Amino acid sequence: MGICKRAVLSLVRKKGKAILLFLIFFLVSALLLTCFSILDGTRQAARDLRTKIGAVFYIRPYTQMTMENGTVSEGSTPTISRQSMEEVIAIVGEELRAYNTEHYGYAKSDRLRFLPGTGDSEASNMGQVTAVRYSKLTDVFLSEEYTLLAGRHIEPQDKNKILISAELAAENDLEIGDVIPLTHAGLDQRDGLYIDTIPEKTAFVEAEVVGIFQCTNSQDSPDAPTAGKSVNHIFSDSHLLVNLQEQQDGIYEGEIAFYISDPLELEHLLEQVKAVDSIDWENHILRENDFQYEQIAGQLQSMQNTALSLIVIAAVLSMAALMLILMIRMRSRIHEIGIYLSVGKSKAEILGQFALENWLVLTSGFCLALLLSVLCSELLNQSLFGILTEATEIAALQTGGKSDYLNPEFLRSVLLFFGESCAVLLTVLASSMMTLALKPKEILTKMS
Amino acid sequence: MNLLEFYDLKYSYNGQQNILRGVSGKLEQGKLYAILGPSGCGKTTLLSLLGGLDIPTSGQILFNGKDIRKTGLAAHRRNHVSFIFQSYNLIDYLTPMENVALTSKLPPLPVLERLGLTKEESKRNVLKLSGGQQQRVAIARALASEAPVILADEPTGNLDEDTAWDIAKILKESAHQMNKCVVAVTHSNELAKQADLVFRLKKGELIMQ
Repeated sequence: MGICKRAVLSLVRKKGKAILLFLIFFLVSALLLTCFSILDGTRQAARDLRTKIGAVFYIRPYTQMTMENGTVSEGSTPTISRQSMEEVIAIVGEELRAYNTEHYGYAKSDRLRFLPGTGDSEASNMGQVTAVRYSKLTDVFLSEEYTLLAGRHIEPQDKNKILISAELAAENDLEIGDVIPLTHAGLDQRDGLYIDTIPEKTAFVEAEVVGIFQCTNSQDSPDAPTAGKSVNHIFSDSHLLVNLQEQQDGIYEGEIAFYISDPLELEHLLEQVKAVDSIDWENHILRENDFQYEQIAGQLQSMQNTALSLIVIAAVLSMAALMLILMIRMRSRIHEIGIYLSVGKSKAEILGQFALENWLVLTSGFCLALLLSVLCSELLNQSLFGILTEATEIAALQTGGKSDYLNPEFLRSVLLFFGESCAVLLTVLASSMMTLALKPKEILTKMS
Repeated sequence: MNLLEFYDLKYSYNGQQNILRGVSGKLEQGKLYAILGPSGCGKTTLLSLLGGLDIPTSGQILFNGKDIRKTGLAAHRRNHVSFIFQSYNLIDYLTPMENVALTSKLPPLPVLERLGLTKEESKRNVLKLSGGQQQRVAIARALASEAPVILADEPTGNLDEDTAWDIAKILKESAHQMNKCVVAVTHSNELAKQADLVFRLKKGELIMQ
């Protein structure tokens, strides 16, 4: 009779013991699967949360001021080239979600009457232009100082498109889709008067209004000139300022923002960005913003630590209990071992039978545990991670898309099963060897 | 021809208590041997040594002229000898047929029927059989194996007189009809009466009667 048949007969004929062992294996497997699912779930949730929140770093230019003979003089405006930007983009790699550039200029138009500010005149009736890749990612829109009322934001593929304020649109009877001629301008103050530093106009652009915004929370200084008033602010794409000869193609004066997926990567990336030689670090600073992530990082970490501690405790306790039970069970089979030895069965055959019996029970217990954890994962997911969503007050973990954080991973489950199998086989080996290491006669003496 | 020979076997516990003091003998196929002696005289120890369950302190055991320690004790147990114990030592979750099948690939029912078990009894759990029936199953298991030597340790010790007599007869028939070398350690005079040769183990020495 082969070991397979003996193993099956032993399990079938000793149903009580087999069922008890099955329940133990099932409980241990279910506990470990749940713990690992929670740990994986918290890791995945944390990753999703971080990605949703993201982080941003800015390369901000600042102009050096020098003082000579009691006179303060301003240095030249620092710029960043497209080549430097591409180096940074290469460093950020797959973590990059978006980047935004800013460049500033002025524009005026025969068809546009800007809302007058301090010292308004025909010459100074102009608006400030901020040329960007994404207008929605500028500070004023992110902080909701400005809100988009109609149309859409400026996007990277745009050419000669503009966003204007609702007040400016009303003043000039402009609507979405209207095209207006713009020309270049420069603002300076001379003898207390604001003047246009480019009186001879050589550059003209037909710009299309694609969006209208409302200046909700902005507060202008009472003595702001026309171009300094928020309502006269124009957002455009970079092409517009290049076409108006106020920007060199591929050269940026303003702050450049890089939006990344994982806030945990921020520090490491900043280290690498600081090493980019083509950026003039004498006149640029790196600024980071992961405030949102920092707010919830503690909660996330403590949740992951709790899950990890629970897993370690559960794994150690359950494996210890399992091994103890198996040892007791194996030692109670000394009589059987003695008989098998006396009828000429080899130690390997005896061990093989016991190992196979336990492995068969483990496999069935594990399969049931896996099936239940798959079926229950959605319910648990809702109760565990739904709470997290409310606690962090963000929409990152709301259902939709892949949100079942507790669904057991295939590879993890296979590894867990492999680990449990090894533990069971080692326990069977260790406990049986304690008996099998004895001389056959000693076993028979113990039997009787 | 001598199947099993043993020369000058000595056995002691912890090098102090001498259980066997130079025991020698030659056993042939087709004979039933009985070894008698008081409790603690070393009968079971001698049987264990002959069956390769233990190693003598000194001396030599030959099977078909070959030293069993050189051919391997596990192989000796597997191929040359089979055991019958006083407490039957059957696997409790198997039927008589399955217990017999542990040692033989041949159909177990004819052996069991020859020893008096019905077909229905042969398919019952062994724990549901009487002591005598369980010992018959143990004998059937020993007979079914191809091992030419059967070592029986007090095979009738737990049985009533009538059953013991039956078992003794079965062992004798097995030796004679199946050409087995049966060595039975016993207190039973009935069994000794059935034996072809009787040895007495006294003060660690084996004396032929």
